[in-house]
Amino acid sequence: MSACQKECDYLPVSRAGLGFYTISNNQAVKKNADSLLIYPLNLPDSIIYSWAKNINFVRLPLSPSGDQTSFVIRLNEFTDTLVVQYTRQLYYVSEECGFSMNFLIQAISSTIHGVDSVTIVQPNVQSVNEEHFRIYF
Amino acid sequence: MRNIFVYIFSCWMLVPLSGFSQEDSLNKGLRIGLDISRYGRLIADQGYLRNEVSLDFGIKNNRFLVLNLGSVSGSLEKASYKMGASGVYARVGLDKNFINHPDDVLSLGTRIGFSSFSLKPSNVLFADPFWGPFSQNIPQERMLAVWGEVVFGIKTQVFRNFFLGWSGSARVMFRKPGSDYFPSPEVPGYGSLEGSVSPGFQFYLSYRIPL
Repeated sequence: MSACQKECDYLPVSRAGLGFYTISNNQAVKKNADSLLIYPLNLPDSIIYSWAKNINFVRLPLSPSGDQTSFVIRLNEFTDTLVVQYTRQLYYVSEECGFSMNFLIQAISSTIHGVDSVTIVQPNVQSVNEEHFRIYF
Repeated sequence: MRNIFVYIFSCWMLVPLSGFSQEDSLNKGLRIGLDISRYGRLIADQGYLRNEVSLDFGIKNNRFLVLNLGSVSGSLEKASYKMGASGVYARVGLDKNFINHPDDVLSLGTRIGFSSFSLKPSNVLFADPFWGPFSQNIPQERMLAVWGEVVFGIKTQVFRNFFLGWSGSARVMFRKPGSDYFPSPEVPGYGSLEGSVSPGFQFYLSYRIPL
């Protein structure tokens, strides 16, 4: 609503942070995946992580057009499907940038070929560098 | 200067609104003003139509009861959204004229402002770098704001009963409109919510109805 037309310098985009863990002596400890491939179940050509090496944290794009996104995760030699269910909220960023979207995770589930379990750490997906859920393997 | 401010804040609003003394008789009469700075901004703001009128009425001791009424309507088109806005606002308060002459005004005053407005975003496009553009409509939000302000003003009579003058104000929001995910970028009658104090500027052409 100001007199000057400005460009949007930076549109914040929320990504769900996923950490990789194992249980050791009843403690959750970070564990690197030797190799990791992730893509959305419905978009096998849109690779998010392509055979990443020695990685224990990834950021997953939740689809803004539905309340659920499924990811195929090939963790080392096993392939699992991770399903994230959430609600969406468009929010106003600024006059120049317009709107972006936050998510509130409702539930996650996974097949258990290579994955032991999945847990939600922080359901509010509002920033790019937080950990929102964990995979134990 | 400090004493002046203390005086304004402590007893300005408590002035009894009755009785005219002899020397005030020249100041009485209802003055109606139109904020003509709005129409310059209409072009710059490409979309929102703003109107503001000001009524002031001389009461005792060189004081004026002031009422500003305004409206904002229209819509703003941006690359990734369209924002429709409509609302009305009122500011009410008192001015003290420091010049003891009926045709010149150098005033300091206070106001309480109220604004009731609605914002309707439409054609909202969120371009996710991975998923691509996603479009959605957001329901209209009705909002209410309350603020306070200190106003400095100058007016002078240019023709018989016609006045030209400007005023500048510093506004502080008491009740912020909007929700966390949809804060209002601007409040009609108040201005931008970005800083803790919002500056205001009016340029009035006024007519005094002789009594």
